[in-house]
Amino acid sequence: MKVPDVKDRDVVLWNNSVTRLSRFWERGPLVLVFLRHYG
Amino acid sequence: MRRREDQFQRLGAQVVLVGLGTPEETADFKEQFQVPFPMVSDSEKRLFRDFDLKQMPPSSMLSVGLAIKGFMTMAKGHHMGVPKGDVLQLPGVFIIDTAGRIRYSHYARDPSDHPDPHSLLHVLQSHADLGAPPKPETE
Repeated sequence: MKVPDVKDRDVVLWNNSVTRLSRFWERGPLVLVFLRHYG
Repeated sequence: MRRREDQFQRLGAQVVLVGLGTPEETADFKEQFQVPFPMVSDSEKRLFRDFDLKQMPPSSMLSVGLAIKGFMTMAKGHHMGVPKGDVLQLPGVFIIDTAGRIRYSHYARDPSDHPDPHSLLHVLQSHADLGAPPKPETE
């Protein structure tokens, strides 16, 4: 089964810094949680 | 999930939350709810689109089933304030290995459909190769 690759891209963090998404899975698995909204 | 922070850390996993707010709104949310994880501000929904996360139809907001789930969520002690962002956007959770491959995905069927943190920890525990370098593809 082919496992889909994640599209790497720049992301803006809560502190206004910018990083590559791939930075978060460089050293271990990443659990990426998408929130519906704040509130 | 924040109660399980140390368990995710022990498994070598990084947890990152993605929200629809601006960086300022995201920082407020992170502080208010003492979120221990990094947070991404995705106000233009680029990541939501990359991961093919859908919106629910507006009519489903009026469903009795959804209202019951909302009351049950509040009964469990979860905070429900005035929503900021897109109330129709459905959430999701993904586990990505060190090669950038999606190894687990959960697409919510409704706003209250979240995977249990235990099941995420189980996925991390049962896939010992999540942190392994990618195998070369063979044709």
